[in-house]
Amino acid sequence: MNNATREVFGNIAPWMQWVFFIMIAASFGVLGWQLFAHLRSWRRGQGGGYERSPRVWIQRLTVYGLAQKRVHKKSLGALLHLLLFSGFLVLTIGTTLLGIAHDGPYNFHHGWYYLFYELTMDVFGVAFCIGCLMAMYRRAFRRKPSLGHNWSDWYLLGLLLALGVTGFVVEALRMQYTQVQPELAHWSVVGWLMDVTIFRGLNIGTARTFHLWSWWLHTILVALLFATLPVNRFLHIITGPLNIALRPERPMGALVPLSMETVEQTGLIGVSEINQFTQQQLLSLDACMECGRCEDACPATAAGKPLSPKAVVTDVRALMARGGGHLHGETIKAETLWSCTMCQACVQECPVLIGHVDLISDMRRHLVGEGQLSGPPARALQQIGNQSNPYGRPNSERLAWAEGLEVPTVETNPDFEYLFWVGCAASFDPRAQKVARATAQLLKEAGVNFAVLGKEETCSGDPARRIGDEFLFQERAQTNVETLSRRKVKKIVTPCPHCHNTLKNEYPQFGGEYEVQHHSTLLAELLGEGRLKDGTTGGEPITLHDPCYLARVNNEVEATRAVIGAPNNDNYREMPRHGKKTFCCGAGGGRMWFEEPPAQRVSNLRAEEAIATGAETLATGCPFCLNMMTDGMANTAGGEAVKVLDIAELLLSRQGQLVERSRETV
Amino acid sequence: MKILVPFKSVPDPYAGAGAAAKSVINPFDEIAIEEALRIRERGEATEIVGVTIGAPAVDEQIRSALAMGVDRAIRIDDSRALDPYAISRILRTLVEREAPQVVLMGKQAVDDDSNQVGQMLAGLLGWPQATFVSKIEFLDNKTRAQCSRETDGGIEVIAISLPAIITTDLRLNEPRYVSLPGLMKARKKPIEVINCEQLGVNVHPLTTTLSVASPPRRTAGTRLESVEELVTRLKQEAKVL
Repeated sequence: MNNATREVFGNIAPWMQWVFFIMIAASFGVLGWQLFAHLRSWRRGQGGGYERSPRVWIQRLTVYGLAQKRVHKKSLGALLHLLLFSGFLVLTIGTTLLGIAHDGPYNFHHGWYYLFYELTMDVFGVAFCIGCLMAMYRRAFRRKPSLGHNWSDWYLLGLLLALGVTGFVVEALRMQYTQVQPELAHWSVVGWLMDVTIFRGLNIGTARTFHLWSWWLHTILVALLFATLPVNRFLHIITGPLNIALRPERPMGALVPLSMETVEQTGLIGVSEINQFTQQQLLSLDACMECGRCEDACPATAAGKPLSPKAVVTDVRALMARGGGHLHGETIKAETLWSCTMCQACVQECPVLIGHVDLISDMRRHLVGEGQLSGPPARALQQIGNQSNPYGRPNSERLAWAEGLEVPTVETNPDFEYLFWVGCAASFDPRAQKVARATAQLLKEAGVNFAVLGKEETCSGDPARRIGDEFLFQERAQTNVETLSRRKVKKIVTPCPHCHNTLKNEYPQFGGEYEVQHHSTLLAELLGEGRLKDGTTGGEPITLHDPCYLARVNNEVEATRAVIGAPNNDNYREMPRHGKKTFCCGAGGGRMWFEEPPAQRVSNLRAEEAIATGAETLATGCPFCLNMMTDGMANTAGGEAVKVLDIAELLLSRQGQLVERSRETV
Repeated sequence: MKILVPFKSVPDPYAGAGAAAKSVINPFDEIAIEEALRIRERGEATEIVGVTIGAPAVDEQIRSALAMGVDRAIRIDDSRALDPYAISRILRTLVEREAPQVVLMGKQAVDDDSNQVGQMLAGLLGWPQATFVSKIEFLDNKTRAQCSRETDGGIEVIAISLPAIITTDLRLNEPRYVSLPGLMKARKKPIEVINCEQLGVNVHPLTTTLSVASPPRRTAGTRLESVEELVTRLKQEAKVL
């Protein structure tokens, strides 16, 4: 077997080989010229803001590139992509190796290596062709709208399939005219099978002629593939990995800070023209191959709002391709930008790590800076500025929720371990106040050494930042960081996932580093230590709505379930979209403060999903989800009977004695 | 076309009861400013002049107006509590000086709810007026304005010749939000400060405020267990049944 090998360019005359090399070089030239044009359009963006560490590049390319982490899903699309991706990768590497073996100083293309090579190429070639056929089937019969359909998709799939098929034909005919010994032929499975079936009995001369023609066809197709790569979806095989490597590393829940100096220098807030995005953001637009995963996950799209994250990317990209220009109005409508709940579902789904929410946030900042925000969200921001909370309540009433509970404050208990950050909703919203009460009672019952800031607490700034008033946010962040430093705060516990996210992921941008916990994790710890009664019994069916900013953005899904006793409860039901793949209630991204037509409310969709589980109680861990889901239940058939409660309220109801005492203090 | 927008500084009406309310532009006047901006944005106005009366503290609200997009502002430096007639007289002098085609202002201020200045100003100037307006369109090469008025009986549409006074109602528009950098950019815009003496206006208040009293605080209600109990209580305590 050691002398097992095959000829390369066996049937191809030397002048033809020259034509071949010139053609491939020309094809790469055309590809390079087009890529250079793309590179030039990316370079029109702002510098900086990309990942520089090669260690991160390699790690991400391994996880999201080679291992295709974001592509995996139980779907036809995911499976066919795996076949196409692995097939194309192996065939490309194989062909490159052949070139090295043939023209390089070492010819290793023989023996066991050669046999293994032939087998591998055949197996992955088959996978590749099957992948093409599956993709064609999916386009012809399934026609998923979010995928989008264009003539160039058929061109690409046809080209790829033809490449695979002609590759096998070339192999079979070469084996035929070179009269390969059977024990070697078996390793090239497909070629051998073709030889014993369709090419059976072909004489050597005819095989040679056919081989030459099919070899040329195959070569022309290869040249065509590379030359036209940038004008169809295939561009993502280059731009996808680039964006995966270069996307700046930042926690999912943290938006990019903007400095007042930059604004004063440039006179610009946010993004109104293509070239105001960063170079990496412009690259990310070209990384999109329009798979539609973002759109499938988007709550705004699902609720019929005028937003598709995919359309945002492709619309901005189309403008970039036209040479740039003003984004707002024609290209991206204000309603589109305002429709986003910033739930990050699109960002979580994107296989090439496009930052849709960052794009939207940048454009929102421009709208706010230009005075294009009005109505209730504008009033909420005004109140954050005037009264330090979006409800416009006097900050002196920050402790109204605690009446009769004797909650320790930073003044009465300066040596606290945990700062209980109540948040504006739980401080002022009558429904959410009950969550603050329940949490405080549980902390007291468990003997936690805690304190609240009282009137020193102000809005975390989350709604201001998400709506697009970056400097109102920074004003809040700086004030709060000062307060927290002055009170020597180290550990923070809060029942609001939005405060939790901002304190944990965004305050470090302003020098505020704390150990921030959502109340679910602290309550789960207290339960684990036996400091609170568990006492879960069967009871009525219950389900849990994971808040986006807790589950998706901050990876916390177990504690909430532990607090409501889900693991030991046979009547606990999970919604189809749960955990990190939860579905927004509609309040995020400042949407809490927008008015919306009842038919377009995201909460209705989520309420339907919860009702379908048969649950009689819907638990959640966010005052805004609580508000939205209560409304959603009221607007949805079958929802009237479903109780919407915070996890702390549910846990409190299991504390026996405490429940009795709490009744007296209400 | 030049538009003059008089506006008043009032305690923030959206601040909850008991809040140390910050001063803001009277919401109806803010609507007037917004409308003036929209008229300019559709190319029908060339200059918007804001005017307010008060001590230097109201400069903050003037900055807000300038940040919204008002071109320049005038502050009549006067810290007295002026009645509507006095204010109208000051504004008349200013209108005569600035010669706008339209005076656009809120139908009333939310602090004293007088609802008089627009009407008195029209009277003093002898100009036509459209009050409680929820829609404005200019006609005949901007010599007339067609205004929809919100009346108790419905929408009344009238046409008035310019120059005229137009006072704004709630449904005319939703004013834009002014962010911090917007406020900073507005620092460069001019504010002219003059007093009544310089303007040559004598202020003769016709009304005097005798007293102001807060409404009584609402007391807590009682939660009843049953309809029977409600009926009993209504009979025995409230004696309404």
